[in-house]
Amino acid sequence: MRALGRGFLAALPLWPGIVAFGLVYAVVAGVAGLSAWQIQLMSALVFAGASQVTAAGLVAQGAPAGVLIASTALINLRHVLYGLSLSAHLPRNTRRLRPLVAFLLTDESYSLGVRAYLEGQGAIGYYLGAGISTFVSWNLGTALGVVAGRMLADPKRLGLDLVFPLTFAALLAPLLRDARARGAAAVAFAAGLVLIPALPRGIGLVAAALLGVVWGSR
Amino acid sequence: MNVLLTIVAMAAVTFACRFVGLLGLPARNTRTMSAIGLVPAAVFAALVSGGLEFRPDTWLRWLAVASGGLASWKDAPLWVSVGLGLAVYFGGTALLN
Repeated sequence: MRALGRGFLAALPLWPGIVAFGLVYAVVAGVAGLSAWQIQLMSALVFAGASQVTAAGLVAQGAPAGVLIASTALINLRHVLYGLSLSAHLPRNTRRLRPLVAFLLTDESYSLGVRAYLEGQGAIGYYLGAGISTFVSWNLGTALGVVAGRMLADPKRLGLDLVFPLTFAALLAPLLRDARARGAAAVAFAAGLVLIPALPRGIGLVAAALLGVVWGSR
Repeated sequence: MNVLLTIVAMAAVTFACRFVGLLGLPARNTRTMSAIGLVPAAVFAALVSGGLEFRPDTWLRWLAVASGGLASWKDAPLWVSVGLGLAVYFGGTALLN
């Protein structure tokens, strides 16, 4: 229990960022047309910020459910790498907890948990505490965003749909420090400008992203 | 598809991605794993372009998005980057009107 508490507290400095991101997600999802309970349920069940914001963006563009699910899978593929890395540290007697470990696996909980293991301070309780802390802050931010979103009379008319490209640009910018990611993003961006208006809704976006990935992987 | 089912399916694929790695499966193909690493950048970039139009009268939106992206590049938190972009857009709109 002590490790759980330590892990929970270790994630507290991340709360302002996570709550703010959750708030932005909820506002974006509200502008896209999702209801309050749908927005909150997605945070409680999916618990994956980037893919939730992406899903909201896709909903706004009228993408079909298959595209939402496919994009969620594509964006969350990085969690396979996190899991592979984390599994090397988890003791065998924690197998029964693996489903909970998997549910709480995010960029934040992975970073805190693995760093603790690398520093010799790691424990399953510490990781779970950090994960629970992240979950609580994410859902708190979402709830605040739902309330804030309801205060906006007509977000689209006010020009708040700009939150979509702005949020994705902010998420994208730090990734551009890597040259290959820069190439992939440039191609996906250029392809998106042409393909998204030209192809059926949602398809153009996936095609542009795949072109970017193929280009970056050359 | 029903919205609830879509959310449940999204949760299921997310959980599957997280759980598969915990099984300790070896990374079979370095090239594939490397390509997976590029997915977020490509998807985010495509989503940015999806929210912009290539027309002269939309330059203020482009400037706002560029401002937000630049702030994030300079390590500003997400909410600051988005807030700055919105400030540029609404400030610019007020000045032009």
